[in-house]
Amino acid sequence: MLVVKSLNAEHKDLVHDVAFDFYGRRMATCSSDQTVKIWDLNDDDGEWVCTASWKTHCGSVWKVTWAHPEFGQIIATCSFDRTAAIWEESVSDSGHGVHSTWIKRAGLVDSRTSVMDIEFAPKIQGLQLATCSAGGVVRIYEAPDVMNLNQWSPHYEINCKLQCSCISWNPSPSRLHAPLIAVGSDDPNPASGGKVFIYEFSANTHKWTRVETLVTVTEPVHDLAFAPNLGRSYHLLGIASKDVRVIALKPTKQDGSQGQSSLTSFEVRQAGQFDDHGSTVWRVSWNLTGTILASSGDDGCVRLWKANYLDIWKCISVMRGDAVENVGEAEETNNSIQPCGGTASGQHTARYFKLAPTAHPAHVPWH
Amino acid sequence: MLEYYLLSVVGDADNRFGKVAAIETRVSKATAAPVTTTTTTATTQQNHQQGQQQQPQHQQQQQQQKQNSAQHQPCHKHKEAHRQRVVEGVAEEGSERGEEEVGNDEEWWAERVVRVLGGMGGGQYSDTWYRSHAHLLHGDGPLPHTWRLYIAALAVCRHEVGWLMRALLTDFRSAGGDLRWLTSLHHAPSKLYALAPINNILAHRPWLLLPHHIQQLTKGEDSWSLGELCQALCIMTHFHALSSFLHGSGLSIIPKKAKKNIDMNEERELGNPRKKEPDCLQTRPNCSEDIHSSSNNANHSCNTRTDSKTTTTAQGAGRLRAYAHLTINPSLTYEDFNGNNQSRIPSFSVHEYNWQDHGYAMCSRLLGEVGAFLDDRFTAALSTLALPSPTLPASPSSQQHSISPSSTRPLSSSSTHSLSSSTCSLPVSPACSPLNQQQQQQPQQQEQPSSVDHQANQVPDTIQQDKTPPKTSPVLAKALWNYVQWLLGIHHDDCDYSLLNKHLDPQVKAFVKAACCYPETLTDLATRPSTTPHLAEMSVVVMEARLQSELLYALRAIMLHQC
Repeated sequence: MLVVKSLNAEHKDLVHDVAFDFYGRRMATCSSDQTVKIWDLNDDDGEWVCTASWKTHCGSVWKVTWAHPEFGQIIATCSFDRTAAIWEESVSDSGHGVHSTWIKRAGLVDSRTSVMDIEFAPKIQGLQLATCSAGGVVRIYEAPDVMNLNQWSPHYEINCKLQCSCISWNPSPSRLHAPLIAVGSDDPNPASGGKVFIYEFSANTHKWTRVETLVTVTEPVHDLAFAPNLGRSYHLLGIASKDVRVIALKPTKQDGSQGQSSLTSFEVRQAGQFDDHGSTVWRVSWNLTGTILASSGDDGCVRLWKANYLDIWKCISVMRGDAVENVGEAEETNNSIQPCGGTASGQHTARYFKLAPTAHPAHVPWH
Repeated sequence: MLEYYLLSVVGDADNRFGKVAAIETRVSKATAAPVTTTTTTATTQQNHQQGQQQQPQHQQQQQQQKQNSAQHQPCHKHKEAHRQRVVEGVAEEGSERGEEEVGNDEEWWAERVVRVLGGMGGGQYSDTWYRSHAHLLHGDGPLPHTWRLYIAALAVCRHEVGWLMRALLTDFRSAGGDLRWLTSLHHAPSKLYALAPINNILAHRPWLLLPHHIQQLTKGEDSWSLGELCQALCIMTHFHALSSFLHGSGLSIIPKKAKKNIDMNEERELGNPRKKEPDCLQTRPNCSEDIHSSSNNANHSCNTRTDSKTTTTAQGAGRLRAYAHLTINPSLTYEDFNGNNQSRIPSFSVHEYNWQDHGYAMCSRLLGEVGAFLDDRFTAALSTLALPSPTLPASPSSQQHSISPSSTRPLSSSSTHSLSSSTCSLPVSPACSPLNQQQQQQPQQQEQPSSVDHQANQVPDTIQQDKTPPKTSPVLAKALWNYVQWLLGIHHDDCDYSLLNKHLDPQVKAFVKAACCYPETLTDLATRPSTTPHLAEMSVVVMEARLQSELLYALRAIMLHQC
């Protein structure tokens, strides 16, 4: 059963990104009107209420992302104005009720080009974040003191040579797998080779090294996402480019190299490639358990993909919001075992912005 | 029984932006006892009318306040009203002292600096200065507090203001900084060590700062992020400029024998050879005041006193540095930018990269609010300081103020227009009227006992007392500003430098050059032009102009690096 709820985001321009927080009860939207809006889910009536709206940058804000709630109510935004910013909510209890304001804690201004994507690292790694810029540089910052968000020191800088559009941390690092970052490039030239790069962090040399380039992906990549790993022995990567791809990365066993400093090599297997959207796929997103992949494309639909017991991926659902045409951008799935997950897709029709979260109870049509 | 007003500035160490409460107490001479403990009471009340009996902190303070009480009181009222704002590092550093002896000295001295700054520009300038100082050291920003203090110490070390160094390092210790860094710069993290050459360049030859310096700092291991780097540069340049100011206005040396009872009688000071430094510092304003009374005697005696004092002559490059372990290449000093034919570095025109158009935007982008604070400072310095209109240096300096107003007016008007017509914001006539008023003040001031020690405060205060607020003369400020920037390699296309040279008193020029480029040589008071009464204000202008120039070079290098 599909419930579509439409929310007027009241942004004055394109909505580029929507992000749910860890619990799915707060939402951040960012837009080309340079503002970010924070929405809270009202428990009584299940309505989303905008609790904060403020100008964040001097240019279009491309992405917004939440940090793990363990660090507080923190979001990070990145923008066309070559900066990324970190904001923290401060709640003041005045006589009239609780006011929440968002304060800029830090500005990351090192990039020389538009910063295309920003994402916090898994919380096990501390308070780190990675940004990638249109100039092809991935920068990783860390806040050495989680209580002091003003200080972010640049830890690493990775030069990808191609312009980057998206970045994704492996959300489940373990002692078996070193931290991984996947970077996707939207370089329009197919001759420049694979557009997805996998970087691994080596604890011995304290460096990020490229361990894999996915040569099968030659179309510009608009989004990619690592799936949360709840016991799988391999990594799953969802890629949005001209079509939807699911790539499985299986670390190959290194003989006698337990605890060695050698880098993992991966066996790359394409688990699925789907052209169902029939048009450019813009965003992909995984659910909490890493079993369902949601993708949104230019046909205005959100499609859900799931693998069956034979590890064959199939589309399990097609959802349409109030689509007119040119479905842009954001969709984010926070389906969880809770009864109310939400899928949001941002649509742009001329100047009017609609934001449609669909309440998607944990049903699955078949599988 | 004489009564003295004791003005003590108390810092609230708890509050992050230490509240400054100025408490005015009356302490009778008989009960004055030497102080052994520093009392820092946290007071939030700024009502100075409450006579809180407070043990005088230092005898020196009392004696210096020896005043005609009637005249003093309204001055203080004005000052209190202005000094509502926060005083940060300077006073607060004094209040976190561990060692008593040294601590008391510096705290008292810091308070003096605060007073001098506070009296200027009717308090507007001082507000902006405090804000930026506080924000740089304690406000939000990427660098941790201990790092900021250490970088400030590195900056001050190039210009050798001993007490400020000690204050900063003590603060660094109490803030939990790593003590090993104090022993040598090599023990500091390599990230900080990499900053040392930049510090040197900015302090002495800022035109040599190039984008590749920025690149070296921001690449590789232990790299600086741009936000961190910009904050470090702002702190360094701020403290370079502050050192210039301290040396220029004579506040860089704490006089010895601060705690002994020094009789304020001028004759005794004259006769006592041991107390040279405090005398000169206190009586230097006296000298200038005496000029107003158009007597040459005091002038000469002032000179003789400074001559007989054992002075450290300007040693220049061969000078040993007090804190050489905290810097590299200690012998690097300023080199004449304009006279140097070897370095073919062209001076850059202010139109290519100036504060209003470029620097401010970049600073705000990189650091946020600091840009706005610095901008406030610059505008306040240029517009609110009370400086006299420039006069021709031809006449003997002691008589320049006794020239009738009517004759100076046409001179000033012509000079103002020719100097920088585009940059002179105020019309000429208001600029002349405060000059008239000043001259009217001077006969009145003659009658006062001349043992004023913050005469720099007096002039604007007395003017404020007498009805019209001083519409300050921006001309001299702008002229000095242009000169300082020219010394550092920035030229203004709309300023006629030949006229500037003609109209600035050569002694003033020498003083400004020394204050800007090698301020540590200004310990010799003979080099100061004892003719001008506004050394403190001029030092402020030099400080701000220097700060802006260094910042422009730094921000321009960052900008070029980014491209």
